[in-house]
Amino acid sequence: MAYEDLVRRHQAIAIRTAHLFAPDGDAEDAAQEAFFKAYAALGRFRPDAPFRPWLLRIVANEARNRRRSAGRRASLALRSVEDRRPDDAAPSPESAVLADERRSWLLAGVNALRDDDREVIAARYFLDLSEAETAEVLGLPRGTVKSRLSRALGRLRGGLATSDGGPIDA
Amino acid sequence: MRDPGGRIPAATVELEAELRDLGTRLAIPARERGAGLDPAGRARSRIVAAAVPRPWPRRWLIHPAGLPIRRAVALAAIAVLVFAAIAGALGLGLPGIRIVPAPRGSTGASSTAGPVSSASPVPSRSSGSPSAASSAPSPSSAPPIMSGPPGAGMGLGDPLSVSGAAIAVDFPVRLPTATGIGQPAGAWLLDGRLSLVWPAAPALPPTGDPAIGLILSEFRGSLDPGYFEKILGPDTTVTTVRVDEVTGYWISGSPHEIVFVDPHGMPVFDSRRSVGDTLLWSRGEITYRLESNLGQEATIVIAGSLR
Repeated sequence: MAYEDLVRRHQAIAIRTAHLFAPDGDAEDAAQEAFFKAYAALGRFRPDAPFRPWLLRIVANEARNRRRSAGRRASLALRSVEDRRPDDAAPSPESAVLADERRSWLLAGVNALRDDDREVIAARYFLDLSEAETAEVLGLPRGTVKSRLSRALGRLRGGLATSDGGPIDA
Repeated sequence: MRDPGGRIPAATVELEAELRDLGTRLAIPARERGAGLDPAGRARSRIVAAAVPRPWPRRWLIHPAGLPIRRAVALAAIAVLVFAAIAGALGLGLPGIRIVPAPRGSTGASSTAGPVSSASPVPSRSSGSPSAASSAPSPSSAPPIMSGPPGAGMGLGDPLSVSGAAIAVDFPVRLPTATGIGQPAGAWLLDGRLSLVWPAAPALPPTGDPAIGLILSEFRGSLDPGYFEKILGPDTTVTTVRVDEVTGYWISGSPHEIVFVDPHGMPVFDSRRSVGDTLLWSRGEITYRLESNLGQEATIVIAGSLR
């Protein structure tokens, strides 16, 4: 089935998207629900438009709806040490500890952001989408993505600065 | 974020790089190989089980690069869809909405689809699959009891003051003026969708959520024209009705969710489970959704009293 093959190409980033938008939900279940809904909505897909952001927008909507229905928002977490990839940098024990602390502080700052700021950070940087793709996935004008990114980065920077690299209050 | 010369400050570039790096180190659930069907496979099973019609021409089938085959074919397909949309908009027997069952927990036989075009009840249809249903709550399970204003915990969005609802959206909010309804006790906003909630009262019998007697949602958007299929739960019917001087849809039976088209032309799945029978209609650019346990006629009366 061509559709199954098509969405499977985007399955990894779809699951990742579902998790980033609803960390305590079942990301796989959200992804399959979104794939089902996307199939039913294919008549509205413009064939000259990129498929990935269109699909991810439906995934993001599904995950966001589930998060809101659950009435809570879990935090994103770092992989545990034993799960790290072989190419994860670890130049020296001391610098590795510092880098880990910095990442933990930064992630705490991201987790403390309001939902719309965290979503734009997740789409733009954690999913590494382009600005245009981010706008499509979030259903926002590009100008709003720019301003929201600027605001979110400012809050993260401010938190890092006020805490001297420590945990961020947002 | 940029300095007067248009350059992005080094600190921002560094922070962006840190965030990208952080993204590669996040704990993301990973599939175990051989652990049953993956999401794509499960979605395919549901599509087959529900007999969802192919919603696009076969020639749109994707070539190995994952892109549409030919621009000319694509443009022809767009023309077909535009024609269908216009036909639907003009009311050439194609008015329709897409209604899908509550996303998890529905069971039943397979279905085919067609637009709602009759004034008589549409036979129940169903979708869903064991794989989708197995990990989900039953549609008949009672909603959680939440504290807070009426509608709390339902995924209606952020709470508003009722008096503030009118300035929270960029369209005129209409309220029912029918006798005995009174003013809403809660207001919520989600992605531009305003929901006003009335608690259960003598004039408003309890719905699927015993604390709630009526929910009126108003939002910019339109109902999905013509060519979409609809898939209903096994105990859901749709009846076309005349409401508020336009054609509307009375959806009764098991919980369902609604797809509408946002002002950008994108389908939006409103996954919130309905709490009661639903009356759905659009006037101009605004779509209204009224849920109650009052029955069709009384709900249409309330809808007609919106001012």
